[in-house]
Amino acid sequence: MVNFLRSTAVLIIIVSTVVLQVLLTRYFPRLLLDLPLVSVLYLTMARESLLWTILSGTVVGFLQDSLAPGPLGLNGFTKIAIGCLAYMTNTVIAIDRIATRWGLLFVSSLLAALLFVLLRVLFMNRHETIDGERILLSGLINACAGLPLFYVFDKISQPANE
Amino acid sequence: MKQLFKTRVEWILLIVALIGHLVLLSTRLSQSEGTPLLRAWTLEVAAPFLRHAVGSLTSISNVWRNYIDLRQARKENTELRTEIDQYRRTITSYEEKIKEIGRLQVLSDLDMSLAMPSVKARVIGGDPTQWYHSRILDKGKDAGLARDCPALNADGVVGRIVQVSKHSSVLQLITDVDSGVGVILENSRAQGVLKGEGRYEAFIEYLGSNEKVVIGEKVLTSGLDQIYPKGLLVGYVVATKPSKQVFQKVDVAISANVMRLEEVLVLKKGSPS
Repeated sequence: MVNFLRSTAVLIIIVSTVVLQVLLTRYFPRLLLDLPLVSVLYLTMARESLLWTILSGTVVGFLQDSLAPGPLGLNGFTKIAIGCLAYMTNTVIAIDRIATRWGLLFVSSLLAALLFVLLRVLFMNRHETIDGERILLSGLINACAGLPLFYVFDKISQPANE
Repeated sequence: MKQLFKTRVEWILLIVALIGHLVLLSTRLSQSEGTPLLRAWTLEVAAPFLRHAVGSLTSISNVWRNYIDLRQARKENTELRTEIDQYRRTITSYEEKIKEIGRLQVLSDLDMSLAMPSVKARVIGGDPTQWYHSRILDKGKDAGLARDCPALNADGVVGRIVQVSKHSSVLQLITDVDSGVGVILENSRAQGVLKGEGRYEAFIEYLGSNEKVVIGEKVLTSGLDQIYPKGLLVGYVVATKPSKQVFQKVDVAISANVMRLEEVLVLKKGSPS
């Protein structure tokens, strides 16, 4: 029962990250932080289960796509694929230190951006120009903001005596 | 080293999920009209939360402003301070209302001048990803909105509706990379397509290299895209990049401040152009 409630709480938190992202960009349109991606990566690291990656990636991606002008599936695919890569990396290297977590967030953010552009080129027949500066900046912001967010998620999803 | 995949089920689920998303992506390509039901439901569920959250955030910012005001009046006695605080809170809320009424009045004037059926809508959310330029509006099918309805404010065109649910909709801004607006230059009458550049900037493409373009010239909608009515202000030419090729690229400063949108006027579909 406790596990079920905790899992529900975690799901509510990841859905909240999408709502929070929509509210933040309402007031700060140039925001480069991708909160939903950070939440999927957190779940991948914390739960060490591919099922959680698939579930959170699907939910978060679907919500993002539904509230945006782009096609359905674009963000879902990106989140699951990047979450899966992070999961596989976590099985090889223990990502529990600040530096490795930062590195994982940064690289994942860059890969997510590149995969997103690639999918748009493949499925939407777009001639995309890769905005390297923006992608790098976004990676830095996600990595720097992700660390304190991981800490907050830890506090929320784990009981005080753990 | 930990086991890479704990069970075969996870592996199968991963493949199914990835393929499922690719199928979703592919099916989207064939549908050009309407909003899928699941998507409309999601929008419908999310909109009330956003509407209340925006209201709460506004209240919080008002309370914060009042707190700052209170600190300036700390030498006065408690009763007077409370009274002043109450007055200030009321005044702040009235000022906000007056500003809002002012903005709505401008939209109403625009509405009257356009003489087209239209709906005033409030922005209740931004873009959920960092890749698009879109806003979530508090009006949907119930108010008569449909896909491809153009939206504008007093300064000019801001975008078009791309997703609609019963009570809310998604507005694609003209600065979005996937946006395209048929435009015409005011003086030279040269026509092209205004494309978003992704950084809240836009440019005109498919404009012949032999066309003379003057800096500061007005850019208006041409009406040829059959979405935006003809003659609406879009922006001003800020730079031209002459080319030896067939087309030249013209940078445009969008006249409407699309980054600070609060209310928009959405023209209903079928409005005369």
